[in-house]
Amino acid sequence: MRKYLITMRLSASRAFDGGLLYILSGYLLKSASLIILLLLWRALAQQGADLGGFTLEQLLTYTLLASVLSEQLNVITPATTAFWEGAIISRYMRPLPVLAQMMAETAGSWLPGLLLYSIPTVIIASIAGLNPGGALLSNTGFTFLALTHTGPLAALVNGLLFLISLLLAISLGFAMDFIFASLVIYVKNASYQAYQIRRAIVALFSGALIPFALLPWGMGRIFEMLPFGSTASAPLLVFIGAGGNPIRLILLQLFWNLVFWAAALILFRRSEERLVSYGG
Amino acid sequence: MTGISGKGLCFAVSNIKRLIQLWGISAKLDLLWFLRDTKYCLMTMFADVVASLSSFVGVFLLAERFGNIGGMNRDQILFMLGYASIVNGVITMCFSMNNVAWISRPVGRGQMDHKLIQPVPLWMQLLTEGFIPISGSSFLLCGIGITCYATGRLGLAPGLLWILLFIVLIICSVAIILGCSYIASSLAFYAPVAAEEISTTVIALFNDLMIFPLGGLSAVLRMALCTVVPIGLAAWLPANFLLGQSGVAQVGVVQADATHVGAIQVGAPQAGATQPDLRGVIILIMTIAVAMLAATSFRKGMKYYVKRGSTRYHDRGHRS
Repeated sequence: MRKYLITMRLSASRAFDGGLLYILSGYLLKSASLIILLLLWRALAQQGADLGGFTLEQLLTYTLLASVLSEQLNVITPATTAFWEGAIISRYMRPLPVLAQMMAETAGSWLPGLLLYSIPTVIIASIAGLNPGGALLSNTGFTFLALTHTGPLAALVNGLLFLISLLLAISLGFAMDFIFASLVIYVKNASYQAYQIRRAIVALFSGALIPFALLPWGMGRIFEMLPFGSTASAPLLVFIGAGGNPIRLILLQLFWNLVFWAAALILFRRSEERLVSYGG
Repeated sequence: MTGISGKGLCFAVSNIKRLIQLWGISAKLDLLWFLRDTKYCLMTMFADVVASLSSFVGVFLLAERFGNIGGMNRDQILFMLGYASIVNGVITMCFSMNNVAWISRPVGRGQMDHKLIQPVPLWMQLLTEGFIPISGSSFLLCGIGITCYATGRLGLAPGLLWILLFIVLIICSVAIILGCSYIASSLAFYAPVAAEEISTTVIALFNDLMIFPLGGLSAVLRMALCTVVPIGLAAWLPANFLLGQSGVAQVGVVQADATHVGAIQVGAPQAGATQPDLRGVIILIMTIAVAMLAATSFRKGMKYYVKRGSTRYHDRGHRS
């Protein structure tokens, strides 16, 4: 375990190699996008729009969490970049399984974001009147457990379900990234193009930017069943207590995890045989 | 006096000839890539289209669901998204090769030296070396298609003046995005590692936010987003100006279908042709201001770079 923690620490400190400006400019962009989206939802609510069954507070909390947990809800490991840059070879020389060290590196790279963006943003949002904790406490969606009341017990169950859902989302995100990285090995030089397409798919199908309930023509119902929905939409819906039965969402996440991890391991093993690396 | 202006005219003509020559060379290089590596070139074009459309689809679907966002109806939003695609398409086609739009990269990496040893002025290189008319055309063509479709749905019959105004506004929007990128990139002269990717952040800021109709925001925020952080000038305000929602912007536009008139006039009531339209003035003033600020800050940074050079390379040639 210690070697993974050291890998995480190294990865976390590497984020600061480019200086504070390098790291803060990305957070500035995220903050600006978040503010615009929050104001957009507020303006829509003010014009009396039907928010797809969400209350305004739920919608704002959903958007806030999607932003502060963006790295966890859209997992991008160093795998693709390592293939592209030829640095993958160095991962094979370390005394750790390749996939596991990439997961540790990724988790480590989240730490600066959590400290410098996520926590401050949640604090500022709470001061401004948007308190995610409040949303969790007032979440009364679990009628199947007869926990329709609010209070500490309901909040505890809600929090636990959210945590399980978030962990499953992260796990699925890793599996998806490794499948994607395996495919990148096949397309060789076109890894950037493949990355662009992946980014496009995630932006639309994960529900991180726009909640599925706000999409027209009942598209959200279909998107919710797709694996991408289990990476972002599911944990966010569990947190705010929307989207129906949280157990159904978690079971769906579990199913996709089993399918995608099996596929990821098989594909990665096969792709390794085709791996060509120059430089590093 | 006549001699000086004649000399100036000759200089301008020779510069234009040289620019056309250089654009031709860039176009030829791009064509060669397409012919030699057609599969990857087509993949790039496809990826560009998918990536760009996906960001717009979200806003369009919201417009479809709600009918009206920020004072714009579905077709107007589609028009704005088409406009935004054209702006991004022009940047992709004319300024994406060699990181011309993402200038903090060559600055931060100490690659301005490569440009300084060329027998062509720097401004001319920046204007021409990013040109990729084949591999970079997909986005622009998409944008033109979306805009034409939206124009048809809105029942507009654009005249020549309107089309000219459209082109001028596109140039202004492109200039504002590139100007902001260059202003921020000037930091890379002084902090090459920290600011190497700052133009990526600036352009991403525009890409992510220019697609939203900002009409629902408060007047103060709208003004801030059109001046301090001029995201609104990249698509929202020019599209509004072109649609003539509340002012005199309907230069040469004939509303062909009376049934669409209501849709076009979603904003404030028509003010009449005698009142000045502040939107056009804001766009023009801001374009000039951003361009001047970009030129000044970049020139200042270049002076610093010429004296100090890049500190990022070790003796053995590796970049830190």
